[in-house]
Amino acid sequence: MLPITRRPAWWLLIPGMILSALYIQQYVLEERIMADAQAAVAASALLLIFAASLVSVSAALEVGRDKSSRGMTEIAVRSKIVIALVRLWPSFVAGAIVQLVGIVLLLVKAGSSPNRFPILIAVGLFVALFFHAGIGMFLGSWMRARFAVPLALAVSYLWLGFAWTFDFVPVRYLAGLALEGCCAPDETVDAAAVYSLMVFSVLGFFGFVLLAMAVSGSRMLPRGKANWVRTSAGMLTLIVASSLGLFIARDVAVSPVVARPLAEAECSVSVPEVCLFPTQLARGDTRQVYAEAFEVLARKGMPKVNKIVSASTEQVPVLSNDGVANVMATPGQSRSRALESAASTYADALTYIECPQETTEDVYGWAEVLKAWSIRVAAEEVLDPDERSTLPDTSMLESVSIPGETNFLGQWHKLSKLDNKSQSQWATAAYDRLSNCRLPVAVSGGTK
Amino acid sequence: MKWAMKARRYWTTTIVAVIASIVGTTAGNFNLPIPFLSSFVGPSTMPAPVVPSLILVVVAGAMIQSAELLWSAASVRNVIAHSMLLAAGLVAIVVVVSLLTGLALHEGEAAWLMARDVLGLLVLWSGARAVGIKRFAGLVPVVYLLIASAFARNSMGEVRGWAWILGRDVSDPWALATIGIGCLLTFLYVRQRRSLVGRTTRANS
Repeated sequence: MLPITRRPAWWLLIPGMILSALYIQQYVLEERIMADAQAAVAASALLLIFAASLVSVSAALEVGRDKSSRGMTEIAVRSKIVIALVRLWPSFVAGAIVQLVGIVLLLVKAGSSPNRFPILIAVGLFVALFFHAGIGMFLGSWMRARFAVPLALAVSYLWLGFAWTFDFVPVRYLAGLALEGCCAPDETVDAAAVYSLMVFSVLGFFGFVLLAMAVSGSRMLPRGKANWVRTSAGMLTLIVASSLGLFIARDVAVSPVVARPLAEAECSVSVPEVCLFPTQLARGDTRQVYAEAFEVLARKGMPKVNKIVSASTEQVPVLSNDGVANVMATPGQSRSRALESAASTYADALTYIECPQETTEDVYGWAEVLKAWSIRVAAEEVLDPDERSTLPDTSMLESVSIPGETNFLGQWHKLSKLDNKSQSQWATAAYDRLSNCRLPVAVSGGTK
Repeated sequence: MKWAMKARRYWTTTIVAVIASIVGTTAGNFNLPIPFLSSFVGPSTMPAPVVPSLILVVVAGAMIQSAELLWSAASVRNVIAHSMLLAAGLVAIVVVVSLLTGLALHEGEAAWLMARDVLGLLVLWSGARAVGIKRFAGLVPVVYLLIASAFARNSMGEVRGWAWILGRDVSDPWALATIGIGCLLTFLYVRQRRSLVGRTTRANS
């Protein structure tokens, strides 16, 4: 066995870990992965840039060294796959350690999580390293080290970086980086995306080993019939790897996620019933705020809500006719943010209605006025005064105003001056009209 | 002279330079997304000429270094000067071909961007050689791009000055400083015929 000091993978391990740690510290926001082990491990897909670079560079160095130390008349007794494993195991292990360190740091950043550790995503990311080992091995066998090593790094980088840019979405999952799009608390990973990555990476590795066997001589082109057969077999394996990978990922969406089953949600005994996923409850239970906010708004005349969930809008509409509201609940959400999310539901539901083009801008502006009213009314009854101070102000209404037509900030000021009953009457009437793509009657002046 | 050029495979390098210049200038106005920065702090891109520039510099660097054998350090000729002359010639080819392509396509800015990228990355390679990174000096431009595309953005979402390769400003002071310092290091390296750091007088193996 070669001494540790002769294995480049071990030398590159420390810089790889430092870069991963720096990247996590600088760019991974805690809010994005909070209390969610799945999102934390998926976010580590971005660290493939360091782990895969380490693997491809060290593989090219190892194989190049093996090639240059071989005598001209030496006959290879061991098969290329055995040589590959003996030469490349430190590259795999070092790359996996960089990835693993990243995963551990991200899990620490995410904090305790009700989710199980997502073994499938972690294994998928480790297996992705095989493909990069293959790149390094092939280039190291084909070219001299001074060509192979920088090119191995460049090819790994370009593959990871630009597979992402393909409009044909399944290609993105072959590189693995796109897994970082997983997952919001109401989503779980689409296993097909991970299987696609694994199948492509393993088969791709064997394809590169076959190609490396064919070009390990001193010439650029393979010599002899056997080497041409190996070249063809290698190319064919790479084509099969790509085809299979693309086939497996054919139905995966732009983000590699599927909706989490609503049966996993934990429901409160309040009226209305509030059902949130364990991840959404992991840093504080805000279900009471949601229930109270909807109850207050129903008392003011807004449509009654029987059940509140937090799921993707493809799974559950923002506000359904049978009284189910879909809110945006995140782990660690404050009471004021929870109230804002609940009270915004009616206005948000209006923005999903398809209205004629000429009214869209007005509907959006009036919906914002309605949102400001809903938040203020609910906050006055549910939140303490100090909690109310963290709610957003209404200055954004100025930005949605249409110059020369409707001044929504002015309308809001007029609405605020009305007595409570008139405000409720205007808001409920406005909601009814906006739900039918009709614009509400402008607020008339009045006093409290 | 003929040997010095043949040993550095000047035909292959010239062909790669011409192709890279045409491709880089033609694609000069495209921006390629960088995934490593886009997810958390907004979308990031790099100008497309970076990719052909990088490949050209890696290939040219390795071709040029191929001619610097062990015994060449003891040669009466300044072998390193020959290498750097060829590198300067490559930059000249890139400038001419890029400008001609730019003229044909009315893409003058893209042509200068291509020239800046090739020159900037090439001086990173030659600067790395000057400070003692010999055999794998070609890694330095690739590592620079990798680090830039992972760490270029500050917490405000702005591109940091040192990551000039991700910007389009041909007169970026950081780019000019990199090129200036790289040229200075290269000049000293050519004069001394050995790396500025360390005591070895051995040429590249």
